[in-house]
Amino acid sequence: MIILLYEYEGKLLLKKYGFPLTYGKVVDNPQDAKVAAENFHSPVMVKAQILGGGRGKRGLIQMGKTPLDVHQIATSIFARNDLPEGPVRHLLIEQAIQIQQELYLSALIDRDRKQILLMFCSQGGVDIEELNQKNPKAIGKQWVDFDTKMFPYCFYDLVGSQGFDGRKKILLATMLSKLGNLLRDEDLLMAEINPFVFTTNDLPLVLDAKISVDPSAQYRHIEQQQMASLGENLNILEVYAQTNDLAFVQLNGDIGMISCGAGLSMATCDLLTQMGGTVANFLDVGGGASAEKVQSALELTFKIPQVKLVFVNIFGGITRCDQVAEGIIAALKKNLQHLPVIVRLIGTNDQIGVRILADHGIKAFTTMEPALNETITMRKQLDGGNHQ
Amino acid sequence: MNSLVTLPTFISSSTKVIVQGITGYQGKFHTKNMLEYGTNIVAGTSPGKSGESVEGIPVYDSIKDAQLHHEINTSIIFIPGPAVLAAAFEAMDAGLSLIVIITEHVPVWDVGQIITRASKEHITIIGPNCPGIISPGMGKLGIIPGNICISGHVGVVSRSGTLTYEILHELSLANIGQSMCVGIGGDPLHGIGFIDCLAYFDADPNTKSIVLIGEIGGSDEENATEYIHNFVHKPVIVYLAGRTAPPGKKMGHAGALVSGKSGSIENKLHVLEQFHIPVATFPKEIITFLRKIHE
Repeated sequence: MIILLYEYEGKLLLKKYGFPLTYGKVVDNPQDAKVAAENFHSPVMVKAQILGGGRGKRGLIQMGKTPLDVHQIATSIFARNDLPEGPVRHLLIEQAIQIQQELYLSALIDRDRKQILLMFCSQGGVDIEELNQKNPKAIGKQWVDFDTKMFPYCFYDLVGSQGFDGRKKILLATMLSKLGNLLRDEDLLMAEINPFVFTTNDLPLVLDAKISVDPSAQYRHIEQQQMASLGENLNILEVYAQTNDLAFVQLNGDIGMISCGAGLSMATCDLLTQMGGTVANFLDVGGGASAEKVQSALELTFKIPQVKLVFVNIFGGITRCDQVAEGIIAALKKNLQHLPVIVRLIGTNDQIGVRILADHGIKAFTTMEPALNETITMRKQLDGGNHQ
Repeated sequence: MNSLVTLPTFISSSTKVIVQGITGYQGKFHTKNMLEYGTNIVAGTSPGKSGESVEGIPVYDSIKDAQLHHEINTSIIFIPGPAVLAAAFEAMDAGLSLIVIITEHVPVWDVGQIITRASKEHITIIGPNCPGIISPGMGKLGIIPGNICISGHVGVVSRSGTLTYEILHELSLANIGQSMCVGIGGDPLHGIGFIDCLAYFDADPNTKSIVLIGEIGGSDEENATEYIHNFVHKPVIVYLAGRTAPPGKKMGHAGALVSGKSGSIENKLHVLEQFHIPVATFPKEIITFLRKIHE
């Protein structure tokens, strides 16, 4: 999963770094939304908190002129079941702002250049990827090294090139400096403010925030670990996977796929698909998996509703094939639907693993192609029949 | 771009290796295997365990301590993610010229710090989240199983681990030997990349053709394709993993993520096709392509 934060969580982080923000209230139901609107004494924006973009176009950001309005809007948004991101669980209620100008600011890790990229554009509120395709020169870009200190003066020219000077230039350069520091100190991969606005009273404000965090750095950010966006959008299977440290992506097919190593796992999915099968899941047990981990991988795969059979493809370097075999045998005791399991086992201790499986009636393959063929053949044989 | 100056000498007797994190499970297991394969490991570090030994290799608290007794120019790191930044900086402070980072889940900003400093000081970083390097019959710095390789003239460079083993194994079964295999790792930010390895293989008299194993996410393959077109004389065969991966989902590797239009398999295939670089649709096809070339 891409680890994105909800808008309100991103704004909490930005607040720590001194960004100008409007007051907002997070609510989980229409009644609280109405109460929040009552406290604002003015029109408010009702903003669905989802991990996706284009909310305005999808009716997920609406203005509520009265508290009753807001109650109605909130009810309709919470009832939405057509969103690919899943159901809306939270709304952010914010004061409606009169916008004079919209700008774009972002900071991200540029993996190609191995530097930090800061972007600034006087055209905010637009699809920046689209603008970058049509007219890349319209977006001001500046790259800095990972060890460069990002002070406001570093960005005067960048901001100036977009037509700003005087007090506003200094302010916006300061925002960019804060954004770069936020990226570094919070271990972010990307932080985007689109739009950053000046109100009709010429007040600066962050109106939206899209923030992506580095999962490998979560251990040093307790705040991030507790963020709602991280945990609540996983389904039951994904939670199980996370608990058992399994890299798992649910797909739409019916052949379960378990392998070790991301590249081999992806390639196995590719090959099964190319040979006419459909894959139910990508599941990478990683290197050096214990019997218990392999067992949980299989048990997870058995739980996928539409799975008809499972292919386990192990090339063991640090992974021990005897451990894999033990894990498979243990899991088969819980294979209540008696789903066929085809195993390919090669590498460290493979002869021991093959023998363990043979003792339990499973003939393990050594090479990948015949194992794939067997899987596809068996899947075809199951066509038209029920699970036995 | 890190220069590849140390790779040609890595497998000679002038390579002297220290294993950082030698007493951990991974450190111990792979030290044994590397020694068996002929790698010149002279010492190991494990803070607080100086005086111990692993497979006969002396353990020290720090690289500096080890250097009082041994000449060292290379390090391999088997240390958990949170401590890799310190370990890599320690290796750079010690003046080592090649550092291989096997560890997965190193924080991205830490990798950024490491490769930025390494670039300025002309130190070669390989990884993180990689299986390392192997030069069949001579030595290895990493975790690639020695028994799946045979000596030969195909240079292999890859973003993945076990998929690389699968392909090396297929090549060896078909009696197509390898000059060297380099695993550059599956993370979005990393040390040496495809281009560094392509440059090396193109200049290496022992390499006659090149196999490049890529995957979804990022633009490494597109950039490599352009480089191949402009600078590489030897034939290159490509295999890509993740053709059927859905966008928006991280497929195991932190770097295997299709986001918007960026990193998609379609883009990579399109660019490779434009420049007429053969792409195998399944691993065995790599062998078919290689045999055709050498006819």
